[in-house]
Amino acid sequence: MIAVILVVSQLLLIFTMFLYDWFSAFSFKNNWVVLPLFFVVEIAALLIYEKLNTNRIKLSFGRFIKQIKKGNYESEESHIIQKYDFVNITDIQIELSQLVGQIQADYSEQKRYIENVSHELMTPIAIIRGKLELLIQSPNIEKNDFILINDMMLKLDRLTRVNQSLVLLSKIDYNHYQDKSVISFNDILNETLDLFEDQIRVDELSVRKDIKEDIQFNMNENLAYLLIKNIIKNAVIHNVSKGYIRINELSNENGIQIINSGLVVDTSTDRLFERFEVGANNSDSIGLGLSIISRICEVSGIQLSYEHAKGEHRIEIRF
Amino acid sequence: MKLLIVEDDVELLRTVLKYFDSFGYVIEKAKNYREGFNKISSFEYDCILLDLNLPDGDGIGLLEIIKQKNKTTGVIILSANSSIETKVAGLEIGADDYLTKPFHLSELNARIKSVVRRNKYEGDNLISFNEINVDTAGQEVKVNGKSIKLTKKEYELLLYLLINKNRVLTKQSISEHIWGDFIDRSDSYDFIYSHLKNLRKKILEKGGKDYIHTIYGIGYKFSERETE
Repeated sequence: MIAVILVVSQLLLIFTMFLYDWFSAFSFKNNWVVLPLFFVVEIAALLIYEKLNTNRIKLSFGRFIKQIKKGNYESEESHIIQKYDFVNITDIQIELSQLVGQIQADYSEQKRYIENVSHELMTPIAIIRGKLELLIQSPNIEKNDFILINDMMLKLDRLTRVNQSLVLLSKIDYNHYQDKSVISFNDILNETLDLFEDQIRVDELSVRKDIKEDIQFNMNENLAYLLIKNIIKNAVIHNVSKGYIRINELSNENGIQIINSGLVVDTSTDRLFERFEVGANNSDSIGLGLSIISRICEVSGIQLSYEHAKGEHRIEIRF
Repeated sequence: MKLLIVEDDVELLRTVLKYFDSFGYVIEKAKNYREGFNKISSFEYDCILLDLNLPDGDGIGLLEIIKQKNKTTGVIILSANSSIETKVAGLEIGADDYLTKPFHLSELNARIKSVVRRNKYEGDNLISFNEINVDTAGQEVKVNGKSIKLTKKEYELLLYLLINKNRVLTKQSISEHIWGDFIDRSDSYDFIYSHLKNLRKKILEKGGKDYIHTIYGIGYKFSERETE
């Protein structure tokens, strides 16, 4: 860079000298005109050079930032940050490279940690559950002791579900579910409604489907099942006796609206989406359903909106 | 029936062994890949329970050896990994079933029975308990020789109870068996009750006895007498 500047200014100087001589030949000897002219030209050249140079650095830096943003920290590759020629900011480059390296290391460490936790927790839970199952076969157990054992088993179930849901959320975060295929909404919906057939019957819920044609969309199949099952589950479980569920397609858009009757909820919509945020009447729920729904929508590029008012809950997803 | 369980956690191994002790199964254990390999090479089993995470090798390798040796040996994978892809992968390479930890021992028993029935004893699809006969091939149930018509869930419930007869079954394990692990269990307990009520009624109508006993606070038991 400096070499370029020197060459340019040298050329400018020679050119100016030449101009000067040329003007002198025509007995134009007034230095006060030529010298300022020389300065003006030189400054202009420098400004243009600076402008171009800044633009180039900006471009280069922009590319660099972009790469950090979408940086695939999952890959073990250590050359995410390529060499950029903004010499003056080499320090930043070094610092950032180290930072990104650290993030990569943390990323894989965390991923391993989650895998280990899920594995190391599930085996002890399996042992406790097995031993409790052995215990209840014993003929010497008093009636009231069964209740204690049952309470333990229920808590064990909850522990399992929380663990499985958290692992699931992490897997979604770590882009575990990437393969996409064409999904038929109606198939998954019908399958899910079958699953909740008993709840729907006992609570005397009226379910109305208003979908003319099959709605199809492109997303990961596992996530699609989880998304629709969780949405329907919410609509069934947080309903009221003799309530309703209406499933409509959105007009003009590829999307679905699910409206259900339910209890009046005081918790704000935003907070409901937070992990472990449970409505007041729901000691059973582990409070991860809506988090799972919203994370799946985020990673799948699905627009999600949810609102509740006066005991009616409305959730809309747009593919 | 001869079983082999390949599992590196000694405590879990002991628990499973103890539970199956009274079923009259011959059950052998292997704590690692090497032991598993030796047993599989030298003996025949009806069903092998296989943990994929072994300290000295990958359980998948053992699965391939088992299936090369004898296709009719049933293999049930026991894994701490609940993800659907692992399940699919396990089944694709030839496992007959896949059970996620933590499993209910009664569920494990039902899976073993089902795998062995499918693979080994062709034609032996009859499960009987006194006057009750279930033909699993045609999903037909007879009481005192007379057919009774059951819904899908009532049939599944009856089969689960029969296979785990004389055992206390928790409501959770029944719920998970019928509805899978997606439904919140406490919601389904009332449904178990109502399905069992209908099942009981249908059996009694044909002159069958009531073998379904409620065990206070915890679940149900299918047996001759209420207290043993």
